[in-house]
Amino acid sequence: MVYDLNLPAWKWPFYVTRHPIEGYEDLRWKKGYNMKVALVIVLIFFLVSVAQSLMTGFIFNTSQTKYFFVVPYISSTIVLFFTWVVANWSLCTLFNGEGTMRNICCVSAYALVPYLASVVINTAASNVLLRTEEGFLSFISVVGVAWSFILMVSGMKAVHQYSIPKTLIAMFFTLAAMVVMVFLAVLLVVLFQQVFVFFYTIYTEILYRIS
Amino acid sequence: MTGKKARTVAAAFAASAFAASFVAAAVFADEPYVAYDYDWWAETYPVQNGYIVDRVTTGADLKIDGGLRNPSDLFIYDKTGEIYIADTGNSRLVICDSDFQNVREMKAFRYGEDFRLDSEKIGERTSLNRPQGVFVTEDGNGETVIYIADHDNARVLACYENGDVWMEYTRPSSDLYDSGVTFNPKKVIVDNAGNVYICIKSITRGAVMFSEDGLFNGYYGANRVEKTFNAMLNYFLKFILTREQMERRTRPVPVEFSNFTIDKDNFIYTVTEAKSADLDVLKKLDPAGRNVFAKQGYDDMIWGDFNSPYVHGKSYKSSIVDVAVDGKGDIFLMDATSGKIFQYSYEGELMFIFGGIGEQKGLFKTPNAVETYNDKVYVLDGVKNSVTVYKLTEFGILVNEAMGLFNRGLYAESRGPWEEILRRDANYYMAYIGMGNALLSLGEFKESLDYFYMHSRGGYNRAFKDFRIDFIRRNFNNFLVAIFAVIVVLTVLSKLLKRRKKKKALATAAK
Repeated sequence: MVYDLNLPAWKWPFYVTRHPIEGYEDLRWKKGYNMKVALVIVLIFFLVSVAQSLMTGFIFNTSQTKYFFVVPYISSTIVLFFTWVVANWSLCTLFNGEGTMRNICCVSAYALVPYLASVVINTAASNVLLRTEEGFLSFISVVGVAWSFILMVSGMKAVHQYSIPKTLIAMFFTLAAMVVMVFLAVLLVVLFQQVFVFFYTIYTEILYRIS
Repeated sequence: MTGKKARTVAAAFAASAFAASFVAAAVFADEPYVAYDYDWWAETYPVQNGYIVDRVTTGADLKIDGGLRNPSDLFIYDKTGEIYIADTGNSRLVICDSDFQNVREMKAFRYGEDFRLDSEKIGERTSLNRPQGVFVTEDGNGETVIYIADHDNARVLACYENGDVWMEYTRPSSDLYDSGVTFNPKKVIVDNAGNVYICIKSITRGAVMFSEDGLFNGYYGANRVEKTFNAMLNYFLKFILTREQMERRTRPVPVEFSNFTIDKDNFIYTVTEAKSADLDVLKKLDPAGRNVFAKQGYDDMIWGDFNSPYVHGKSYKSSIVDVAVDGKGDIFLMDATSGKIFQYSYEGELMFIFGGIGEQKGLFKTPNAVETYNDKVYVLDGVKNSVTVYKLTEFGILVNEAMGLFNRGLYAESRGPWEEILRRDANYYMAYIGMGNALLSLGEFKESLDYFYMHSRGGYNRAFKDFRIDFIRRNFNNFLVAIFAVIVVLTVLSKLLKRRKKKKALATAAK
């Protein structure tokens, strides 16, 4: 079968999803990367995770909190995604990866599509299913996650022009790099807090001296 | 509503509530404790009181020499309603009827004619030494027999009402009973077959079990071993270390249970006092020793307070010292930490929390024992030397009625009481589950779902199952029409598309 690859930008994520092996090579060849599409997908990632916690049926919803608080959802979607992108870029540029930050961002976002679809389907289905039919939900979510993982591997492989083992190793070390980044960020916040407290004590001290 | 506006409204509301509470205090004699309940998130909120103080009787009120001194157990004999108090400090039993009249003591005992162990002892006198437990039942001849856990004399006495001892249970000489372990009975219960169960503090393997004739029958109903770090470490080290090395390591033992009771169906309820215990705080044991309450659903049930604050280096975790079961199977737990009594239905649903620590009537210093008789709850305080009697409020009577119907499976009949409860207190958690079940059995699925929402996942699941089937049955015709319509539309569309494609292909070919 011959495909017409002169696709509009918004169709590329779906094309890639349907062609997990060759799709990303086509994307690279056709330069189908589009940041707008990628950012929309990341935004949808965030919205879907909020919707999942708020709209999953009562029988299956284990994340209902008394008072909804959005910050954890931002950090577990948007912040997580860009941490991944930055960590992957900083690692792979050092190891002959060909992807630019932009390309990595697009590829990673496009790979999320099956996962997002599975979450949407699950959230909807959880409102009509019973506890005994939980198997359907776990099946769908496993399929979604596995498909997204395959896409992510394939995408990383294409965007950096790596072999498969090298891709997997790079992805593993990307995760490690993300942990380091989070650790440094926390450290930074704590240290700045100390600095702030230091200046604040000086300020109060001066205030007492003057008055 | 803006934040500021909301705050002023809330402040006004609080102020009026504050004023209202003053008015209420002026009119009613309020209880010194606040009844509360747990919501879906296990957070507390106040509900109406189920129990209020009926009377408080101190040792001095009993008009008996010595009053009460550090009493440690209370038993009410269902048949006569007589109250037996193990007056530990005075080394005697104090007996009175359920109105605290006809007070008498049991102090002097003698080995009776039918003493079964040692005929030489017959006629000898004997007395108690700091008894800590008492149990009353009737024997095969219909005569009342009293079992006393005579703590410091290291024996359990079985005697008749006149003080004639007919049996004595002492430290078994069996190899099964570890040689280094003492035998100081704390509590005693007897089942229908005459088997005697003795709770001893130094034994972690369960209650010591004797046959009626004093034969040591082993242990009954030990707690499970807590999953502490040491226990888990041992589990893994077992694969590496040799047997000799393993034997040198400290072996994790279960926490001993501290008190127990038996219901009319011979189920034995044990409670564990130690704050370190998370497992088996309350067990309901069948005659084979299996715990009926273990692992219901995914997690073990939590008994006592859900929240166990740790303030100023002191843990305020519940410490359940006694358990009582009434005729309906409702369970009462006595928490010594908070001085509260927790009432559960026989399925383990929380009904009421009442009592507390303090000086006022209805509060305790060291609550030692809880009993229930005729829907009243009796609590013995070992420092105040008093017995506090609680009676049901009108709300409590309603809840008990509804709960009784509910637990007999008469859901539809329980609808009225539950509705009345919700009218009186819309916070009462169990009422929502009760209403959900009532409406479900009446076939009102949608309303049932609303009541179960945020109250019972299992109930919601059951209601939703019926709701879904009902919904599909009702709308079956519509479904058929919709499916048919979709098929028609899809086929027409695909044909149209094909035709258009053909036209396009022809046009491009013509070019």
